[in-house]
Amino acid sequence: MIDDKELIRKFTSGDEKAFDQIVQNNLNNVFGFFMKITRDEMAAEDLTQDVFLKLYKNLKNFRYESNFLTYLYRINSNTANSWITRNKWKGMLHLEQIAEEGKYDQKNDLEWTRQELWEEIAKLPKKQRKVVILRVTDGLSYRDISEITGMSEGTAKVNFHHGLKRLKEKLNND
Amino acid sequence: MTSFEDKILASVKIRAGGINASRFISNLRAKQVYESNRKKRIRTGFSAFAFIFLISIITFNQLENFDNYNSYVSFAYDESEIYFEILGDQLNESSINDNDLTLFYMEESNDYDLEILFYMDDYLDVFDKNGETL
Repeated sequence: MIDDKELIRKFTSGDEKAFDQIVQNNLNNVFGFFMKITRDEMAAEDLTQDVFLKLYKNLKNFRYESNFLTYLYRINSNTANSWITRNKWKGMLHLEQIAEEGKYDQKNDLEWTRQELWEEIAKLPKKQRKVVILRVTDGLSYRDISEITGMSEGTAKVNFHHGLKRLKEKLNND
Repeated sequence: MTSFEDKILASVKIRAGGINASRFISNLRAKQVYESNRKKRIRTGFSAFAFIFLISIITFNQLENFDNYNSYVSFAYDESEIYFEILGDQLNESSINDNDLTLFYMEESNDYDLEILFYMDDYLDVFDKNGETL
């Protein structure tokens, strides 16, 4: 399999097929990331499409010294962040209900529903929200999170613990 | 805290099937075409609006100054100045007094009443005494 950076080089020199290959290599990763957040195939596919559209537009500005996956995660994280905040407002205005008990919802003995969890994550401050999303959905290390978000490892750790503490208070008290 | 973190991780875990890559890529291409057409439409719409706006401004400006372009005495600021010019020529004088001007207005208006006729009579009388004729 050709390396992503090599594919980016080909794409930037005008080979459109190289971009299709980049999509194929990373599609399931990105789709899985959004499935964990939305639990809705249609929404996850839409968000995945948004990510690859952004990638297509911005790939020409990619700096080869940075890791491509980090770059992709950054786009994922920003897209997820704006989706969550957008849905928070929709929920408040009752314009659209987030799919609650989809076919992917497991029966479990948790005190909260998946919808409640994401509603609470949406209420977190931006930095905490970003870290929590990355850590919770893909279990990324603090080092990876710090590379993606641009904050130091220590700050990422502190933000995650503050976010988790707040979630615990909210979800266990409700 | 760790058990709470585990609970969250468990609640987020999902076993979703993959996605059909070729269908996704063709949808992506279609969306790219749609997006680029939408951008083109916005750009064209904006250019058309700018063009119409510019034409409207020019037309409005031309209509606003329509009289100025057709005036052959654009140097004149009001009617009295025009009268002074014509009267000055007729009487061949550089300075015109109030009486001359009043008389001129009366003659031009062709509207005589008794009061005006008396006024003219007195005025002409003054000319006669000085040995001048109109």
